[in-house]
Amino acid sequence: MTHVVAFLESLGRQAGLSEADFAAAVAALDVAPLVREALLRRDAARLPQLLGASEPVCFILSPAENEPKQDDAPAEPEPDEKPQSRRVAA
Amino acid sequence: MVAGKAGSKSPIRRADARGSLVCVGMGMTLGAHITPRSRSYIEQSDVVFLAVSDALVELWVRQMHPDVRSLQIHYSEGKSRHLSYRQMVDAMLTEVRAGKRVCGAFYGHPGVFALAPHLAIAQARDEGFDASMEPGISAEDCLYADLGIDPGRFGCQHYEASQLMFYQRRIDPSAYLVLWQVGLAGDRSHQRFATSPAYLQLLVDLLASDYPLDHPVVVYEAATLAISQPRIERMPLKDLVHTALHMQSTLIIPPCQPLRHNPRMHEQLDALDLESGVARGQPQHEENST
Repeated sequence: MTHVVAFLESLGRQAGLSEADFAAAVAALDVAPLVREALLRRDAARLPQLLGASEPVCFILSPAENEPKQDDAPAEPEPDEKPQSRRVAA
Repeated sequence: MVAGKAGSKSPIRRADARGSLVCVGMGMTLGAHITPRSRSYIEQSDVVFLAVSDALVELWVRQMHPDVRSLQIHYSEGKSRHLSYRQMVDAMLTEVRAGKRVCGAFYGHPGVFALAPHLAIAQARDEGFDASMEPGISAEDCLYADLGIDPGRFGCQHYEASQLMFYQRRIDPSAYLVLWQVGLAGDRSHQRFATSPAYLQLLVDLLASDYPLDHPVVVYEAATLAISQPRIERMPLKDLVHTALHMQSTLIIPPCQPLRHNPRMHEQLDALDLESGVARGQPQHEENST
């Protein structure tokens, strides 16, 4: 697992790696055959499963609207909501 | 580098036992985007709280620091994400108050479409602690590169997709429109992790006020690993309803109208130029195309 993550990190830092160099680098890794196969197929969905990594349940970090205040009517958004009151930015 | 290494030139200096908070961006692609400064904050903090979009990125950060605590535990389907965000803030602030140097590591940019880092930093400052944010490469940055879009060319509007649906907004169809979190479009519960075609149809109906249904749009997802490619799926607007969308999906709508001159403003500028003795250059007004 450590080898694979370190490999992915080095791959992320490296520009312009040819397919041949990529294949050679994967071949040189000390990893299980299934992991090697997933890397060669560039199967980003399979790799975490093979490495026993837990997929994130959720990674949405921004709500569409502010949390309703306790004394607000829940169905009606605040009509005068000011953009700066939202702590999200594009 | 070892956490808290004595004599190191860390951006976090422990002058006393006071806690501090820094929220850093991990960028989108493992190994490719993190800044040296953000990495240093992670390595030198006492505790790292982590919110990332890729399982392998979490493993990567765990190799940087012995005390990495995932913020994933605060999510669950059917639970309000407002509550999840409050709990994330509480988790980080509890350690700051305990005198720890806390690092919150978030995928992309910690201040872009991310509520908890902003709230946590504001709360920490309110309580008298040092708190700051380090930027990261966001999905927005990646889409400009991957799709060849310059937001300065025709202008670019960004909205959270559901927020666009909930509130009356004015869309400018002569500029790009980017809708974030389109995979949750129309969710008012803040408790779901996906939307359905019926909700997407409402979004398409809304957009149809400004765009033809056959207008080409793009569903985009940035690559999180260097072995993979970004998702760039082009389709007519009407087909969005039956397209597989995920939490990381973003909808990009190119302009469907040309830029329109503002003759009144030009007249005012002409008068001002004449008065100021400023010569007018040759106008080069670009017609936008999709």
